[in-house]
Formats: sequence, C-alpha cells, structure tokens
Amino acid sequence: MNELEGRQLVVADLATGIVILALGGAILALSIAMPDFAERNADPLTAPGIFPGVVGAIMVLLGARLTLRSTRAYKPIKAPGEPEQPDNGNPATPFRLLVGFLMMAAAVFIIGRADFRFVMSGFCLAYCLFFVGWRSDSGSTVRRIAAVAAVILIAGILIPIAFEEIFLVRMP
Amino acid sequence: MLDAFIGLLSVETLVNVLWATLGGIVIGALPGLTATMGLALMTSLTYSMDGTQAILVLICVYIGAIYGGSRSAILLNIPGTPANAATAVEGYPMALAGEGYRALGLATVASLVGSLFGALCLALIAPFLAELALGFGSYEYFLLGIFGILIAGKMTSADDPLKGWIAGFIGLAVSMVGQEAIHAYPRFSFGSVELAGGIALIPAMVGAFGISELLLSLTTAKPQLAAVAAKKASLTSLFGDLWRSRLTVARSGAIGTAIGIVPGVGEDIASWIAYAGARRASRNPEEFGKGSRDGLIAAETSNSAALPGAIIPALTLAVPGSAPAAVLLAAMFIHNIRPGPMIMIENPGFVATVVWIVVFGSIAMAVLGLVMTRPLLYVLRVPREYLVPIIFSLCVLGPYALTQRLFDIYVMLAFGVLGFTLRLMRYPMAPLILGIILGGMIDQNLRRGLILTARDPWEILTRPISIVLILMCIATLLVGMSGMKRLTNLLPGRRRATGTGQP
Repeated sequence: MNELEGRQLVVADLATGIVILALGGAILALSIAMPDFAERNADPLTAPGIFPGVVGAIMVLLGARLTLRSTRAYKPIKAPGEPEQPDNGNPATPFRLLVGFLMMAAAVFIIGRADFRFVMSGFCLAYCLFFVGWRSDSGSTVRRIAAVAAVILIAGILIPIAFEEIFLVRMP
Repeated sequence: MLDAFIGLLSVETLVNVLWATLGGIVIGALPGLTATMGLALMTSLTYSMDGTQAILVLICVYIGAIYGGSRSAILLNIPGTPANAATAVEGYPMALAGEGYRALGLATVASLVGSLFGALCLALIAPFLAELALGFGSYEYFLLGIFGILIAGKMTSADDPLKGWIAGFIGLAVSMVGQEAIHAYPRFSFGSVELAGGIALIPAMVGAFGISELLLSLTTAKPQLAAVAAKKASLTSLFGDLWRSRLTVARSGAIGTAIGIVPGVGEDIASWIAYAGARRASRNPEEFGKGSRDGLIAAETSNSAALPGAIIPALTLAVPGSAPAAVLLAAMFIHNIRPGPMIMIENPGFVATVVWIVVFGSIAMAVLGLVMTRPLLYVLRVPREYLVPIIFSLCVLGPYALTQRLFDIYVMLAFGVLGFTLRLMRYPMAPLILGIILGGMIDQNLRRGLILTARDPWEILTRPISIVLILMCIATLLVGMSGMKRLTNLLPGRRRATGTGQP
C-alpha cells in the first residue's frame, strides 16, 4: 500500500490542495477576527492575529498552487494505452491497517480509565495474537510464545517501571 | 586549560562521565524522551553533587542524548530527538540497504568530530562568538526561522518542494494554537482548556514520526527489514569515509557551532542547514534522501557541534543557545555558578573546565557508541510485529511523561494519523515538526521587530544579517522552481552540458 502513485496521487493532491486552501482561508478569517487589544492601549502590531494571518494567507497561496497543478495533471478518463495503476501490495493490507489502528486507538482511549500496565499488556497481547505469523514455517510456536511474553514484559511492565522509578513519572 | 584538565582527572569524573553519557544515549535513543527532558530529570538527581560534577553529568547526558537520537533515527526511521530528523532521512535508507553498521558508525565518528570541533571553538573564540550573536535582533530571528522552514521543506522534498513548504506551514499553523506569548490570548482554542494550553512539540513529533511509522509498517505485508544483512565497517574505514568527506565535516562543524551560538535556535536547525549545505556542495545530489553518507555526516557533525555552540551563549551571556542549554543554565544557578558576561573575568577556569567536560563526554560517547553498534544492529533483525508494541508503549509514555496530560496522548495519536496520511501523499514530516518548533519564535520576533522599528518594516533592509537571510530565503525559493530550471537551462554553459537543453 506504500505511497500513492499516478492518478491516485494526483487525485489526492487535488483534494489536499482544496483542503489546504480552505484551511488557510479559515485561519486567515479567524486571525482577522482576533482582537487587537486597542482598548487596552496595546500596540496594534502586537495583535495576536498578525502572524497566524500571514500563515493563513501563505497557506491559501500554497493550496491554490497545489490545486492548480493537480487540476492540470488530472485525467478523469483513462487514455487508451495508459498503463493500469500499479498494484500497491497485499489486498489484505487495508484490513491490517484498520485493525492495527483500531487497536492503538482503543488502547489510547482506555488509558487513564484502567491501570496502564494492564492496558499496555492487553494491547501487546492482542497485537501479537493478530499480527504474529503463528502459522509461519520459520521458528517454533514455543519461541513465538516466548517472544510475545518478552514483549508483554518489556512494554507492559519494564518500561512503565523505568518511567516510574527512574524518571519519576506517575502512570496515567 | 591544563589546570582545568588536571582538576577533572579523578575516578569520580570517569565514573560520572561513563554513566551519564550512557544514560544520555539511552534517553536520546528512546522516541519521546528528549535531551531537554533527560536534562530536566537529571537535574534533580544532581542536587547533592558537587557543582562541577553536577555540570559534568548534565553536559554528558546532553551529549549522549543528542547523539543517541541517531540510533533510533537510523534503525527505525524515528528520530530520538528533533536534532536527528535529518539523520533519519539518510541513515534509515542506509540501514535498509544493509549498511546499518556503517551508518551507526559514521554517525558516531561524525558526532565525535563535530563535538570536538565545537569544543575547540568554545575554547578559542567564545568571547568573539558571543559578541557576534548579540547582533541578532528580532528581525534576524524571524528571518532565521522562516529560512529554517524553507530550507527544511526544500531539502526533505527536493522533487516537490511545494509539499515540503506546505508541511512546514501546517506546522506553523499548529504552533499558533494556544495562548500566545504577548497577550496570553488563546488562539484557535474554540473554548477548549486543553487547546488553550497549545499543541506540545513532543507529542506531535512522536506521533508524526513514531505512530505514522508504525501505521506505515502495517501497510507492508512483508517486514521491511527481513532481508537486511549488515555489512561490517571497520573503524579505519569509518574514519576513511570521514576523511573523504572532510570538506563536509569542516563546513558542517562550522555551521553547527555558529547556529548553536545563536540563542534559542538549537541543534535541529543546525543539522538541517548543514544538510542543505552538503547537498548543495555535493557532486551527487541525487543520492540525498536515498542513503547519502555525506548527508548523514553533515547532519550528525553539525548537531553535535551545535551543542558546545549552544553552551557558549549560556556561559557568556546567560542566554541559552538551545532548550537543553536552558536547563543546563538553570542547573548552573542551582549550583552557585554564575554564568554571564562576567564569567570570563570572575571564573575563567570554569569555561576551561566545561571545554574539557565536552571533550571527555565526546570521547565517552564515541567509545560507547562504537561498542554498542553491533548489539543495536540486532534490533533490525527483530520482526516488526514484536517491536511495534514496545515502540507504541514508548510513544505513549514519552509524550505523557513531560506534562502528564492525557490530552498529549490524544494529540500524539492524531498526529500519527495526520503524519501517516501525509506520508502516503509524499509529504515530509520534518518541516511540519520544525514549523511547530519555530512558530512561537517567529511569531514573537515578527511582532517585536515591528514594534522596535516603529512600524517601519523597511528597516529590515538596513541590517546586514537580515539582508543575508532574506537573500538566502529567496534563493531557497527560487532554486528548484520549474521556471527557474528552464531559465538556468537557457544559459550557454548549461545547454552545452545537457546537449538538449532539457532539465
């Protein structure tokens, strides 16, 4: 699935350009609406909206440039003889990505609501159960189980202990 | 100098140098734990120590941390500290190509040489350099920040600098969230108390580099590092590489030291500017971004040279040259050491002591780094599915450890998603992070400069350093633009070289 290429990239750039353009415009508008504290006898040049306004304006220009460039490169109809889009890898990749991300998001959501060690140990176990190639020919199942146990020990127990005892961090 | 050297010679010094440097390397190597954080934590551990030994420990941790970040940058494409982002650009491709050993070794020897070069500058020209840095006013800081964004965007996305600049300005926009420094007005907080506190750098960096890398690793069915067989590289060959790139080393060392001296700028900008210089001077610029030794050497030499450079204004002006130097400065006050313009008169021996501390720390860094090169290579052979949970645990705890806000963990994940999405579309992450780092500095100095020059922005053209920086910004924008490429190809010499006039 790696990086986007060809028409996919052009379409993505077109969408991104529009988003950057809109975002820059929103930043500019919000910056203009910010107070300048003139009623407090503050110098208007210290207004909070000055630099964000500059950033917003530049983002509008950059977004416009990207949008224009992508519009020129965009071909809605595939031309005869144009090569097919490259196969970006295993068709199961989006599913793996979704599962991995959901696991991370769930762990982040639960952190603070349950003991950190349990959360991280649970994440490690779930992640390894799903992503470790249990049916692979390389290495025995016992070694894989030992490796998973080591991962849980390191990520779920030793790292939190190190942060607590050495860096004096209270676990979330 | 000799007295200072003799004064440091003791078993206690040796032990402190070794454990502090090793600790710094570990701190720097772990994504989410930065040199600043390491120094801040270590400061509390040094309360009961003698002043000189305490400063020695802190400087060694600083040296180790800046160097240690190159470990994770090279092996995992996750810079351990912001100063190692440029290292990741070249070091990681080298590791993937089976040259991990050489990359780690080159980073080590380059860091050693850079650090020693900076120490030499610290010893020889500290008073002169400090006076030059006084010439940087608000406009100069503003322009230096803008230049940093432009050059980082150009260098990290040479084929499409527009995307690098977009990433940089997204970073600047992110840095605007939260209470601004002059009126404490909460910008873009939308009523949220958490957003009013701003988007912190560390969660954003860990997310953009760390989480996005973990997500990207999920998109490859085959582990990326499965077939890596690291070729050994002898110490002689490493120094041979360094000798062949001696111009790069010299230039990067000078850039690193000079940038380090400028208060508040730091090692990250130094490494990018030196990287840009190396690329520009290279006979093979197309190799950059794909595992260029020159690029790696430039980045590591300069970020290590910037460290002694950052100590110069801390010692002589009581103004830190970088965030970790700010913590170091605070530690000096805690231990009754008075840095400032009078230190060269009141306590000149302390400056010499600091020089030797940097030398000792650099040597320890090199020894420990080379000894640990081979063991660290085994990290590459560990299947990704076992590393991901461990890295994720560090990515969660690292940002949380600084402020202990759950919000920072959410920010980290959000930037992970943002970083992943942008990287799919070939946007570089480093300019985004640099934008977050520099946004506050650029903002304040722009407004301050406008006020100080009585609303006359043209005043900027009367300042020589500003003019140089403006020209550098313009050059960065123009070089590489398609229109400029066509224009330069019309030049007679260029046409003869290409034969066809094509870019």
